[in-house]
Amino acid sequence: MSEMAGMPPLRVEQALRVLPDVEGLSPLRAYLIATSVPGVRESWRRTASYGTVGKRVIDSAGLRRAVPDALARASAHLSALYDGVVSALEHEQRGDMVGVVQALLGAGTQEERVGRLTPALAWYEHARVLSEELREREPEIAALQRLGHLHVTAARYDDGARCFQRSLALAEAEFDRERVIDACQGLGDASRAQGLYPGAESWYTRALTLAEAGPYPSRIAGIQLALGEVARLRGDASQAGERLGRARALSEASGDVDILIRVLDGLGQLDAQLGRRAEALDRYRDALERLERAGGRASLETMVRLHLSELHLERGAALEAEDEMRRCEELAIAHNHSRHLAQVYTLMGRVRGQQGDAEGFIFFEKALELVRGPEPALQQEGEVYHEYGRFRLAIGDREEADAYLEWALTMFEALGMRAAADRVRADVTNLPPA
Amino acid sequence: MSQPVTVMLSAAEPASGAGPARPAIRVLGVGSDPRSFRELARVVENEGGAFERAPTQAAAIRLLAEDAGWDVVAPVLADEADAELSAWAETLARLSSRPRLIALASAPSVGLALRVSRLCAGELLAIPVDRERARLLLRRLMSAADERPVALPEVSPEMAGTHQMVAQSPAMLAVAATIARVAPSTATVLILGASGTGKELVARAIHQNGPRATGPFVPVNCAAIPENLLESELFGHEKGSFTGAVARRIGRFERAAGGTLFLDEIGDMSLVLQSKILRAVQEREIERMGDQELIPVDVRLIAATHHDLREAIAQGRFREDLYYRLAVVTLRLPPLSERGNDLVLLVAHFIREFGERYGRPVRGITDRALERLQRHDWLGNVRELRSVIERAVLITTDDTLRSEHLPDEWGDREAAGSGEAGPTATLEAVEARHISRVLAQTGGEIAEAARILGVHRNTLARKIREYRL
Repeated sequence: MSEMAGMPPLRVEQALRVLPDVEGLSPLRAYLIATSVPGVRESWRRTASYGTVGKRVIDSAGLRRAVPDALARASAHLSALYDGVVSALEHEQRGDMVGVVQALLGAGTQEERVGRLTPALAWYEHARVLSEELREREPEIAALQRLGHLHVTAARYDDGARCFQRSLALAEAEFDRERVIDACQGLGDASRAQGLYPGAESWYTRALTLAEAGPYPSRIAGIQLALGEVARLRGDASQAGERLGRARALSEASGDVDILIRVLDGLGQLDAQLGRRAEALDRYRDALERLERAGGRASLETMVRLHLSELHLERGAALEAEDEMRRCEELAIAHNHSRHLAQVYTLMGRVRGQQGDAEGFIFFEKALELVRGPEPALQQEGEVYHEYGRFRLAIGDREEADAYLEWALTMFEALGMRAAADRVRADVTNLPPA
Repeated sequence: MSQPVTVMLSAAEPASGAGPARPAIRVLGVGSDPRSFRELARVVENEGGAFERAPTQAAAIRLLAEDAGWDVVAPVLADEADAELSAWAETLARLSSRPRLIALASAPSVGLALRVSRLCAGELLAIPVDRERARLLLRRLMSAADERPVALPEVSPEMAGTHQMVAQSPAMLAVAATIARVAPSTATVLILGASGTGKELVARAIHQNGPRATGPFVPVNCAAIPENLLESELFGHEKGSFTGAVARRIGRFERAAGGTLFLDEIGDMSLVLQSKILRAVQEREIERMGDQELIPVDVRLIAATHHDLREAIAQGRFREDLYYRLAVVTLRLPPLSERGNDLVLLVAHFIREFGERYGRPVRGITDRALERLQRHDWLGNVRELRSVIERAVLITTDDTLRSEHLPDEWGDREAAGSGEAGPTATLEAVEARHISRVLAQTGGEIAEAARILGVHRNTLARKIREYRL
């Protein structure tokens, strides 16, 4: 990109329109977004308050600096995949089929780590098919559990549950207690995501019983956290407080920062749910301080800050909420967390709806574009449509409100997300007559 | 009568024949351990202040009640920090002298700092006290103590009118006169002006004083809406016409039927869309996306931009034919810097508006705060001023806005902007600042700014890019 005298700066949306949808450009596209900056002269324009990632400005110098890094990363990724394949071939030559499966699973994990879920699925599925031919069951269990997690992440809950069920049966037959715990947790995750809380609780409890009986203390904090979250979601505050309290004590003792941050975030949400806003604020601040001390985790930080923004909104502090949401946006853009970015924009849109600002549609449209990206996030798309429908209703556009709510309902029903579908159904029922 | 247990007097010399001079600031520490106050007391002394200590809260309250001359109370918060803070909040609220609170705590959390601010509008210092931070804090408080309230003009809601246009400056009165002349017609109007000068307010005023006042006023911010959405937002779409079109949408042209369509920031629109707008303006009919049917549109068009459209035409970024269609009447809005005493009126107006909105009984502003507002370069014009006053009203704890309630980062900008570039300011920094000011004055018009600065417009454009202005 040349510096063109007198020309306005190039916006991200203009740049992306120019780039062809070629896979080889994906890392560059990601860097282009991550290195973009808010337009300096935009700050006092009315536009600034409606700014989304597409309106940011390409920082050509930053992008140039990032190109070697982008190439290095892309090359490291490809190199890891090729190593995986060569390794699989070597194992094949030695007749070590367990090694072949492990090498393929390793390559899938590489793909998953950089957010390429569809290629990861192909690696895992291939590994699973090969593993079925083996006498040992451990490789198949491993492949099924990787597939299970991937399906749940991609909102294919029934597929995920099927994989975990099969892995559970195999692990039980093999007396592999740790894998049984994994399977139970995976089944709990699938049920929780679908809003099937009694089922989720039952799976997590089984995992907890096994973890407590065996030499797996490091697993207990995570399971207690999951149980606490389920209790909170089904409205049992005392159970949630107790579980999260235990998870906190365990994670503090073990020094597991990731779990601890999730626990503090869960406690913050619980306090907010109970109207204890000052306490919730302290929990989130505490989580952020600990994150900072631990050297930061962008994904966790964005999660906490999003909840903090919601809390500010609940307590009527719109300016603080806006500041916090913009911080989340910066984080999500800098780290290419498109799903988090979609969450930020959905929340921003919701706020505009509460203010009766029809221009808030900009945020929902951007959120939809993000969740429909190269790795579609169906569950999140349903959530965006749900909020978009409520937004349309808030600004008095009943026809579109109806269409978006119906669309969200269809999506949630197709995904088997009963609790979410019930929430949308309630909103549809409450629509004013046409 | 309670006696403070430790006294460290200031080094201030008594003025001859006039009794002892009052110290620059009087600070009352509250806590049993004198070691907690060692650093703070030293800083107070160095700043020409006086520091004393009361061992308990009860003793301190007695001292504060007996002597209204305390500027700051500095308790050490221990295990029962929240209870202590609540007690201090009640005590300080009862005192007519209203001393400020600087709490001290060992390893304080962010939560505690927030509670100190929320409950007592105070500040929190960690023990051991960082001298530099304490010094800055005390200077801020001392500076605040020197400020005097000034009278602001009464700006009644009637004066602002339905369009919220608060102005008495000749430049704005000329704008008002033009509005009065053009509003009764149905002529297309192009409003030019820098960000925050009130282009939408003027557009609304034209609409509401025109023959279509009973029809809708539909604004579209062309720069805010993503490019790929703008067409469907303007012209509408049919259900299923593209991915995600799950419902039919009526476009803004249709929504504005019988009223006014305000195309804000039209200079940011792509050439493709400009040609579609031109067609709609010429033919007076549009097509929804995904539908072949031509729909007649009956709207008055008002457009606005902060861009120099002639420059954009010269660069091939804006259609000349569209420009002439839009610029039937051109209205140029002055930047805040050219509106003289309107700033004071606007300050009074916003203080009233936000005071009412947030339930804050703010009635005035100090001389120093007003002086800073008048000295500031308002790149964001009235919108920036409005935002600054809103935040100030939110953070003030009594009925007066002071200098400390204005943005901290202004210190640097003001120093550079006042021409008093410090010894460390680089030539580039001074140049960048000057270009910014001239651009603000010209409403972002590069050609005009280049003429004022006496450089070629390409040189100026290069510098704008270089300094990221």
